[in-house]
Amino acid sequence: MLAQILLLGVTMGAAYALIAVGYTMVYGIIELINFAHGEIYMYGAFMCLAFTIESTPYQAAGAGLAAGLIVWVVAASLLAERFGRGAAQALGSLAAGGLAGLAVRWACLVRVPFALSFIAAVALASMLGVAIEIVAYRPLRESPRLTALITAIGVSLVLQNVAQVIWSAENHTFRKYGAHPDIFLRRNLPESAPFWDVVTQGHYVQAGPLSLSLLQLFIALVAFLLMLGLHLLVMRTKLGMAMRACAQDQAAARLMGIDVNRVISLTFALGSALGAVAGILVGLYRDEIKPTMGYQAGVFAFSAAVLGGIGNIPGAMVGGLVLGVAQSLAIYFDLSEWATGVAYFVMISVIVLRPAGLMGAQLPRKS
Amino acid sequence: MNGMKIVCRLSILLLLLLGPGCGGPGGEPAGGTGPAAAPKSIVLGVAGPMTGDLAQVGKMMERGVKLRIDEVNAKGGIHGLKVQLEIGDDAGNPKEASNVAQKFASNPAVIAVVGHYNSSCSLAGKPIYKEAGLVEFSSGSTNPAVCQGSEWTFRNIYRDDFQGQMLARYARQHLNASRVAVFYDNDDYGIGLKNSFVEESKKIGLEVVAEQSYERDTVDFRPQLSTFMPKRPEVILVSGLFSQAAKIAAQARESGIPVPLLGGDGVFSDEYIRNAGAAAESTYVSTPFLFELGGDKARAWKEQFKKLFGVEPDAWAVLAYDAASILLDGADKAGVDRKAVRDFVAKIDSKEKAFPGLGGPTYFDKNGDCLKPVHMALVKGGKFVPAPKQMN
Repeated sequence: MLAQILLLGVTMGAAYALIAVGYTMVYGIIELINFAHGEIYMYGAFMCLAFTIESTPYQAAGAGLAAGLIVWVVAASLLAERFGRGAAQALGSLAAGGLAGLAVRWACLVRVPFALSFIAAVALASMLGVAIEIVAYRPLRESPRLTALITAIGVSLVLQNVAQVIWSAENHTFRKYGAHPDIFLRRNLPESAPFWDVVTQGHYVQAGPLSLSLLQLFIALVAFLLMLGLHLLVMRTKLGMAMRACAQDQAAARLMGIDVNRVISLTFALGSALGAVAGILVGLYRDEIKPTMGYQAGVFAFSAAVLGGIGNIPGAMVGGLVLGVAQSLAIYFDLSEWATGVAYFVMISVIVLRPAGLMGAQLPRKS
Repeated sequence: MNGMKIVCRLSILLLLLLGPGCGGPGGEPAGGTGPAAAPKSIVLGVAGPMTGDLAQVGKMMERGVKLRIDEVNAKGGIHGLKVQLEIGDDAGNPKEASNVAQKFASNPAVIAVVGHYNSSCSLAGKPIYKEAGLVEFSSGSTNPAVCQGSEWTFRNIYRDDFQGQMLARYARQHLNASRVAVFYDNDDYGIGLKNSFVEESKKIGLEVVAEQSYERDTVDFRPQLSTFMPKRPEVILVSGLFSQAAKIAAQARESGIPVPLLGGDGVFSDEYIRNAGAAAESTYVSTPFLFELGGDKARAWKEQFKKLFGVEPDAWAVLAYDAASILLDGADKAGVDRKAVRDFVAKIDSKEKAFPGLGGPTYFDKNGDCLKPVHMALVKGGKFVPAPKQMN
């Protein structure tokens, strides 16, 4: 039983880590705690659901409008950066936004296969992250840090409310619309069934008393691969080097010919995409997709990021795993009501003893 | 560097402080449907969860009351006065419930209130209604304490001490279980129902092998479920509300737990089946009312309801309709006055004087509680049907 509970903790921890990485990447590069990150997680889950099912005309129109706005902002900024400002660029970005909005509206009205919905939703959520940066944070780049922080909280609340207007405050689940992907639905097979049958027909893996559904495996695997990919990207590629350079000193990076705005945008895009992946998977796993889902997950993931040492990517992964495991261990020791409290207690203890977080010491820091 | 750390820690603090403020389900209580206190009308309040996870139930209550008010108004109202509906949204949250109670209490046009739904909310409103001298008539609160200590509180649903007993006996006698694991919501309803269930279980040889409580915002029940597994329960009781019960059902099935689930009236909502999908199958719930057992009168009413609102009514619509009927009947026969309405309801105190409601004959004891049978429903083929075996 303990092993099973630890496995559950690791699964959730992996998902938290995916979200936490988003916080930590943004913090690492512009020293802003992006409170709207939880809402990106929520938006990803909602869009994937909206694409997968046949939404109501109202919801489709709302989702289309929102997506149109996002694409418009991103396109306007991209075009302005490349070709300067002008009427043609303005028209072009409007057209891009309009077309994207219509496409999203249409995709919401019909059933789209889950895998496609997943990719489209992650792409949109990633653009939402970029759009937020352009609209709300970029103008404040030189302002005091607190100004940007309060703005981030404001953005988070606005997005939560917009989602509530479009999708209402009720809980939406894939199950509710009969859209839970078949491969993630468990069917119990007799214990004597051969291993491979259990995987392909029952959609779970059984090893002695341990049992894991394909969804759980998928969450852990996706989280691991994405984080490995991210680590390689940051440590081994030119873009990663640019990111690290911006994190250390933006002015110097600019002098070395790095397009700082572009690097920051890409950081937001990457972090948001990971957050959206987590949102969709956790939404499926917990049967909960609602406008406030990003809040709790966001606080938790942010704590994970701080626990690991904010600004440090491997730290965020470790932090997520520690919190996830702490939470399920609390339940194992019969402290269900305190599970969240225990997790925070662990975080606070670590911060008190090691203010820089678990892996914070390895950080290259500017003075 | 130091400033950075401080900002970082400050923001954690800020987030934690903000928590209850923006994490809640509902937000602002939605205002009433119409301006109150017009001299030519009287107001009947409906208090319940109109937003948030339980909104489905609140809407059903509202529709039930609306239907009754429309009928009364079509016949010329009460003593020539039109009846208006005013909504108080408590979002299933006791804090909001107090505000709603204050709102109704301070509006002299309100003659009585149907509500609240959650036991915690009814309990929170009780002292306010009592002080204002306004009838609080719950059609959904089952905690034993709800009607105690206030002569202004009534209900037309059974109490949890009775419901818990019946659930335990049902598990033992009809589901042939001897081992049960229990989930309970950490609020008045969840704890009260669980306690009476556990107490009765001990008497009849049903072993409670595990108990786990949860908070309303819990989303992941898998760790708790995996602590149940090694104890080999034959039934899992969910002493809570349908929104969490649906998650428990789905996650139990996903964790490979095939045993039947058992729930109280809090699980009895179509929303449970919608949320849990196929995982809802073989869930047994106790309910104060089933259309299938309600006869022709109930069937005709169901059609009328469907024509008016375009959706199927559930038990909560029926009980709210009955509550509104009794209260408006009181205003009609005893006078348009809060006290007169209360005295009228209090006088329905024996089987002979019982009010012939859709949900069965209704009369009240000294507390304001009422005795009603417990029916059992079963989820089969994606809907609630009467369970093949009933308690008698």
